[in-house]
Amino acid sequence: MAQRQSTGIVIIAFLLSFAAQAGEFSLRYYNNDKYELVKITEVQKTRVTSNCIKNGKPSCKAWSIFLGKPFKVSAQKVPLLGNPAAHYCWDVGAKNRILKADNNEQTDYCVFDDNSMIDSWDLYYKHFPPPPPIK
Amino acid sequence: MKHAFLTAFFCFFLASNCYAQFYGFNKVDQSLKATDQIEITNMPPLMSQDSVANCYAFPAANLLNAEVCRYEKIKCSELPQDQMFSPLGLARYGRPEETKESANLNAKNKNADALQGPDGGNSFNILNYVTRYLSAPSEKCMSLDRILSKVGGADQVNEMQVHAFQRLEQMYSKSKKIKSDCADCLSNFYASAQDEIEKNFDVKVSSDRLLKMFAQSTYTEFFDRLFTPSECYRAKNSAFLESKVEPDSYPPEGIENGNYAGAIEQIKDTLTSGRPLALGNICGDKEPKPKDKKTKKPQCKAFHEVTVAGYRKVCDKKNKCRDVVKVINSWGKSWQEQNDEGWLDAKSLLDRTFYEEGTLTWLKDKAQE
Repeated sequence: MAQRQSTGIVIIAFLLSFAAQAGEFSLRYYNNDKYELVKITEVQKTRVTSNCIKNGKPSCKAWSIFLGKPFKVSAQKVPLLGNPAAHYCWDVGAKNRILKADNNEQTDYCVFDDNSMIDSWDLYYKHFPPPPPIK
Repeated sequence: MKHAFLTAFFCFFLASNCYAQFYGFNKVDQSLKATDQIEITNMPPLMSQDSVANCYAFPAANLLNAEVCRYEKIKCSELPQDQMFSPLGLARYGRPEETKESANLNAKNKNADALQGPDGGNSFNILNYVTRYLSAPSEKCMSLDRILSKVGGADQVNEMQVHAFQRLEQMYSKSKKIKSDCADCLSNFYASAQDEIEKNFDVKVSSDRLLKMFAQSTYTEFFDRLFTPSECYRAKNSAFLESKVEPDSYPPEGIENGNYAGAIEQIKDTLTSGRPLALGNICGDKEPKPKDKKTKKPQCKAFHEVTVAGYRKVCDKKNKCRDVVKVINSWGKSWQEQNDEGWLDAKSLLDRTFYEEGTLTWLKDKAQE
């Protein structure tokens, strides 16, 4: 009985760990004069590169910045608005890059110097939550 | 220093220190009942402008690409990259240019100056130029992600290109002063120009092409020849744009300010006809202000332009209703997903334009002569 319970727990743990990465998908990232595929996974409704997951848990620079305090948003120099989340990547010490899906839809990711990446808007909205919807 | 080739960005970027939030993009409670929905679903893939301040080029690209899909009856999400208009390639047409053609065009179009975007461009100018003269680079040839990867980021792009493009314009001006009977002068000039262009702009230029470039009568035409090799122009199937469509804008020519009712009516009419619109003059400041009445200069610190591809009405249980528009932003797929696919409150968004000239732009069928 105890053995069955243990086996059940192991199976459940395995399935849960698999489920955590079931949302994995790839995007094209232009780097060093060519496109390379990066694997993206969703952790706590946040999209990060799979290289951020170590021993089943997120552990990378992108994640530590995500969990940390908001940074100051640097001042605008001209009166036309760029993508605020893309700009915020630079404020947190990363660079913003546009990644492309198979259907060519584009998404911004903050790329950190440890090669971890996080969806720029996931980061931005974590630090600066949007207002609630109008009722 | 290597520079990737770029269109002329006139603007230099990013979120302001006001922006823990940018104002005007308000989601609406999704539990409200939606009716009267009109939507253009056949739209090109979502794009991002990164933090480069050329937002006005993205709605223009969306309208042009959607028109190609509409005319060719193809699925826009599958539009090949070599058939897509590149926003980067279109950005330079955002201002009235100094070509002979655009000078004549602007003389006939009183709206052109009035529609001049603040410190940058607007989609009307782009559409006005492209639907007449076409020749705009494809996304395959001029893609922002590749260029930013080469130069580092939007900041670097913006700083480097100022210096590099200033040198380029000086070079062009200098070429016009060289005496044509001085063979050595010309030879030395072209050799040095070729070297500098290849080094600064990462563009290989043959001697033959170099001569053709410098032979152009204006700097803009020279620039065009330099950065858009013939193989990068879009396919000839877009020739229909030249004869079949033209841009229009709201408020109508001669009217300084429109109003909310007129704008919503125009949005509904255009969407019903099967076409999306560009919505510009959006002031993202916490407290937006219209143009100064005396000087006519903008007082807003952060402008934006988006594509409108849908409309619907939502009502609460007390039957209190509001208009909602579907915005296609140039802030990437994630922004769309996290903002209810772009369905935003119309009144709070449109009021930020103060309904000034050039607020709405769309393509319409040209009256056939």
